[in-house]
Amino acid sequence: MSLDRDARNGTIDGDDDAFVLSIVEDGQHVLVTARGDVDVESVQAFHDGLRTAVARRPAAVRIDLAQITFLGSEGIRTLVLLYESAAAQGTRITVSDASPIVRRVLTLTESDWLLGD
Amino acid sequence: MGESGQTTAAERVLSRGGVVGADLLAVDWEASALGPLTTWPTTLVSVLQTLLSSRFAMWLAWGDDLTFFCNDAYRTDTLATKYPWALGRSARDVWNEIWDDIGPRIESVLGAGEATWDESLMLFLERSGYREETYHTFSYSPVEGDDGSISGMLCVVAEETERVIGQRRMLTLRDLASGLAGARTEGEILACVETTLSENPQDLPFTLAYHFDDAAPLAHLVAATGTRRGDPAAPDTIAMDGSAAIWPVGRVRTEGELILDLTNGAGIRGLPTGSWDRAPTRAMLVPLLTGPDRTANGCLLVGLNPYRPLNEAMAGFIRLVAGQVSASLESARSLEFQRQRAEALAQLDRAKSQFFSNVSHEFRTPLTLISGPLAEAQRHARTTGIDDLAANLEIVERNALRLGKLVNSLLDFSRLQAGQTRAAYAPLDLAAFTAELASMFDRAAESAGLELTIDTPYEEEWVYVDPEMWEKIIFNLLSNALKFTFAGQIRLSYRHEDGRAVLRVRDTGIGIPPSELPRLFERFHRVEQARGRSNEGSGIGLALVAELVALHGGDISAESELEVGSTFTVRVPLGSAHLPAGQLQRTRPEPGGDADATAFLTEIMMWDVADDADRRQGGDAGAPAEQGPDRQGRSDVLVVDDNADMRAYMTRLLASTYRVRSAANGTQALAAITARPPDLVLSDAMMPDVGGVELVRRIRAQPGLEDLPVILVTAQAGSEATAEGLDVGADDYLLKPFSADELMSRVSARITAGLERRHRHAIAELGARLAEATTIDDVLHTVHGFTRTILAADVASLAVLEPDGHLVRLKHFPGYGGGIDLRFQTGLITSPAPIFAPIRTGVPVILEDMDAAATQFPASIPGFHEAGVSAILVAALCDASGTPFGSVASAWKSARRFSDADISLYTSMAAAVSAAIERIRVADREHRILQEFQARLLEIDYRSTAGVVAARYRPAEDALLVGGDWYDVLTLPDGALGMSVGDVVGKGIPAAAVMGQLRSALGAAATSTRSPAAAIEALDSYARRVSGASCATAVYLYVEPGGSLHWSAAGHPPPLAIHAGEPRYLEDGRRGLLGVATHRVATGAPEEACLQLAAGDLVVTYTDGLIERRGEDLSIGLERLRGVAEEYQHLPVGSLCDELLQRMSPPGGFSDDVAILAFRVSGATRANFVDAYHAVPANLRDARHRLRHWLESSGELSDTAIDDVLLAVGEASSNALEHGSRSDPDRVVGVEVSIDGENLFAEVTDTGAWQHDAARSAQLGRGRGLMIMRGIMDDVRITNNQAGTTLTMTRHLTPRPASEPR
Repeated sequence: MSLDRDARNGTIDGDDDAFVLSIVEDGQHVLVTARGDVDVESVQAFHDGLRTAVARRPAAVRIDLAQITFLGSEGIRTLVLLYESAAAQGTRITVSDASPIVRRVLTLTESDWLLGD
Repeated sequence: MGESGQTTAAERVLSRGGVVGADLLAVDWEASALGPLTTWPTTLVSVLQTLLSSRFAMWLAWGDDLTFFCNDAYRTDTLATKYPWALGRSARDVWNEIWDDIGPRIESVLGAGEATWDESLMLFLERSGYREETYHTFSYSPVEGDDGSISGMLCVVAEETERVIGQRRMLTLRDLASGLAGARTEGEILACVETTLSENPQDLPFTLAYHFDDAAPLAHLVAATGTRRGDPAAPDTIAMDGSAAIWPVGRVRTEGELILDLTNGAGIRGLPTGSWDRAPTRAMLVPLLTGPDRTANGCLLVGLNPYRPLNEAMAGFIRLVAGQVSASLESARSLEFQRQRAEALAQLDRAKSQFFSNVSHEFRTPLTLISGPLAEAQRHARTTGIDDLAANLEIVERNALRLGKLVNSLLDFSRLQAGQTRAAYAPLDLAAFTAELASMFDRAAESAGLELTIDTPYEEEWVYVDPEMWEKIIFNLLSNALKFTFAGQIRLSYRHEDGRAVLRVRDTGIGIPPSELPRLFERFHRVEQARGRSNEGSGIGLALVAELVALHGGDISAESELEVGSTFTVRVPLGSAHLPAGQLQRTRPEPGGDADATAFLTEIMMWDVADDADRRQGGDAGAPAEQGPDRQGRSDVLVVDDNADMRAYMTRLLASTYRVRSAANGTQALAAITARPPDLVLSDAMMPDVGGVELVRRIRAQPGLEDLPVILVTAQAGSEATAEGLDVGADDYLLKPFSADELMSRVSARITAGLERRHRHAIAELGARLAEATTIDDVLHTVHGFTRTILAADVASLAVLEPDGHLVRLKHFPGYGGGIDLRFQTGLITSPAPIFAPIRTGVPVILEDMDAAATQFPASIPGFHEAGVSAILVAALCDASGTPFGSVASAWKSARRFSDADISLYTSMAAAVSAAIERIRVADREHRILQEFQARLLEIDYRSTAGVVAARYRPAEDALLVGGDWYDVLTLPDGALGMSVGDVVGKGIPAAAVMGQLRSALGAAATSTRSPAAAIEALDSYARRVSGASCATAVYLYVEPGGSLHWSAAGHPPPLAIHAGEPRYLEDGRRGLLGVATHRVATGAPEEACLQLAAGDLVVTYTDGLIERRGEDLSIGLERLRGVAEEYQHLPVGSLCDELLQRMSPPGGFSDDVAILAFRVSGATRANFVDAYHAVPANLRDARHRLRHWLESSGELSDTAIDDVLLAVGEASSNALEHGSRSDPDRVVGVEVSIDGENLFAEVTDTGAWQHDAARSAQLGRGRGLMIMRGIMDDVRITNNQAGTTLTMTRHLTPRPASEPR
């Protein structure tokens, strides 16, 4: 599954845990919505999508993870690295509306500071 | 090469075969008997693949022509200069020189198909430009060609030359040392040398020992081996002036050690050959050094083994032999010299005794002239405060008094004898007079810890006695009692009984033997062996008393009981009727001086009565005290003398040069020696209780003290005691009186000789100890013990160069300051510290103090201070060619002087250490190869999704990690799975070698047939041709993708299946043991059986080590296994295997190798979820779906718990996929989850060949993946073995406390 296809279609079909990512830009603010499973297979798409959002150097990027059904350590690694490189260029990243699974995983890995609340 | 331009299998194998492969490709095969590569049989190619990739030394002979192949290990270890010439030639040409030895073995392998095994077989190889004596352990096994006939022979070989020859030499040195230890005379020594050296005709084809007679000047043959004395090679005498045509023995005087070239036979026809078929081409001539100045008084000539190189090991061996011989000869000659000297002195002494008795009265004049000026000098010393002088003069005074008393006694006695004494009898209140005299002994008795009771009630009648004589009677009796009483009391009583004055002196002393009583009052008679406070005494005291009593018309008698005490009774008649009237006085004469009493008491105070007093004041004697400065490298001398003055005098003299301790008697001395052996014992020969001779005897009886030099000090030249002392092993004796110079020079000579002797023995012992070392740490430990004992070093270190030639690994014995030992574990060879210098230069580093260090190693000074080191020795460790490969270092905490002997000892030690480390490095390399060999064997090639597999291997001999059991998992075409488990008779390396062959053979057979019976049949026929494979067992199982299980077992315990929850043994499909031709009986029963497995079914195969227990019927073990497996069947396979190993282990651990292989069929049941999928990321999501579905349908977990489990298993799976399997789609990730009501178990397995991937483990340990797993599961374990990595997780299903809010 690739970012291009998701971005083009903006819709998903089939399993409700297939990974889908969308980016909505609103001036200096970018909203990234991800849903489905982030695992070894889909982490590349997750990474590419987030990178694309940050590459536009917005003031802030909000990542909506409310519909994430699985988040492995690869996904957390991607979030942490992205947060650091975004901060270096002045872009603030927040994770909003994390699903219980995301909260659980971020807490377990002591990365819950990403939640920003 | 392939005509079509395509690469052939042979070409591919050779091109991957490293250097040897490349050289093999370069051989002109078209011209060879084997023909071009394209025509090579497949089996040859596959054997070559094994051979070229193996790190065991191997070679292969193929085809009728026995075409020769070998691998890199063989090339470097054995082939040497024959490489690459040998490749592709006939093995007959390659090993032409040993064909007589190996030809028949090869014929037997090829003809009868029987493998051979030879241990340490001697072979003469010509690989280094000369014929060389070598030892190899090797096995030849047959190799089948494509048509099934035996087409070749594979040899696996290990060279053992150094070990075998080293052992042989060590044996000779040990025999020589033990033989010489018992030889006393020169004749015995030479006989022992001849016997011992002739027992090693390999290293010593012939030896000749010559003794130099400088008067002639001629060299006399004194020992010969390998030849007869008088033969042309062994002339009885050789002129020393160089005029002789034969052996230039005289040259060792000027040139030292020589190597003689014998290639032209040294002009001698028929040189002896020893063990060999040809005469030595070289001889070594070594001086035999004796005497204090180490001059060559003889030489040892050794014809050298023509089949070994003359290297440091050989030269060192011969030097050690020569060293032992010369040391023994020296001590024998010195002993003989001492005997002759003792005899001469004895004769002189007899004449002297006569002379002394005649002129003893002449002593009085000089004694007077000593005492007078002495008193003057003492006064002067005291008034001017020269304390040293005063102390010395006090000794002089005491001894002058003693001498005076002795002379007086002698004179008194001789006068009495000659009737010249005229007594003057005066009437006295004898009770009071006696009490007065006796009370003078109060203090002496108190000092000695004795109670002196004086019981003299008033008697009315006065008694006529000569007062001076009575005084002597009292003094002698009391001093005698004091001398022989160690505890208790002395009681003096005086009474008048039956008209006589009766004096009794009773003691609680050692008593007098009944046999001695009759002679007690004879003059010069002394009770032999009596234990007293002193052995000093003239033996005239009691005789004098008897004479004096007789002059009073009285008598004396003694009663005694051994160990109870003695009573002396003197009876003198009352009145004067019995006395000559002319000698009667009417009144008591003027009292004389108490000079006599002073003399008696002075003498008593010089016995160890004085020591008791000293001890209370913390003086020198008593418990052996230590004197002299410590740790200066000064030798340690123990002075033993019962006379306190003598002890103090010798101690003062020696303390200027040595560390001196002293002991007052033999018992104390032995305790002091046991506490810390000194470098020399200087002991008085005559001492009470344990005398000097007995002391020597007891020292020599103690292990480790055979070499401790002992010098006896004696006043009786030529006495039996002296001869006996030398007999029991005293090294020398010193005759009283002696000068300070004489004492010092004797002690110094003996310490030097003793140190050298001990050094030689220590080096021989070190060699023996090092031979037992199996690790570098062992060597370090041995070195530390050696240097601490012999050189008083505080710490030791070893440095060993890595094969790269730059990095040096350091090992330190703990004890340096500043944590140096922990901080400096490696360094570069170019580093400036002293420990590295000898590795570059080969030259020892000798730093006696920090000044020397500052000059030579200024950069290291801060390090030395930190480490608390002040003196350092470092010597190079060199390989057989003399190239340094490391160093050994010792350090002292204080500055130290190193003698030449110290340095030479240290370099000898370094040579021995070098040999040991080289040997260990070779052994380590072999061990590592074996470990890798087995690790590779036990890797499993598991690529089937039919189920999950776990395997465990536990060798009986932990240290080896190899054994005779195997397991194997094979991925077969069409998704089928093959599994085998087998067991070869025996343990350790030989069994492992056979095991590897059988496992491979079965693996090969399994790929060509689907029938387990056929595979086992092929294995059986192979096993019959492999030596050591007889009676092996194996079971082979074949699982079709649909779960149909087929198996066949040969003599192997039946696999255990758990089918639909019910355990059952797979008893069918059996046949007899492997490799036993007669065992096969056609029973008609099928040798293969079949069972349809369902999802979650379990099959456990194992070797009999798991179920066997000594003295127990096998059926009990089978029942036990069934029970344990049933109880733990819910566990995932890996945990199940671990549980089986633990539950089935006998109390003392397994006594045989154990292998277990467990397999569970993919699919889900109520209790088990079993999933295996190819390592592709796209498979992960489906796998999660399957697991979620199963978890949900189990109904045991909440939704959040299910999410948690999916997270943890997901992390483990992606880890297995990414790292373990490296996303290789051929590899498989296995996931097993089970629930037993209380716990959830999960196991995720991969089969990655990851085991050296430390980075991965580290990442796993640090990463978020593990944090997630640990956060969710109650227990997370990571196990690595040859079969792959397994993550085992457990979660308690009861609600967990403190669960985070969700």
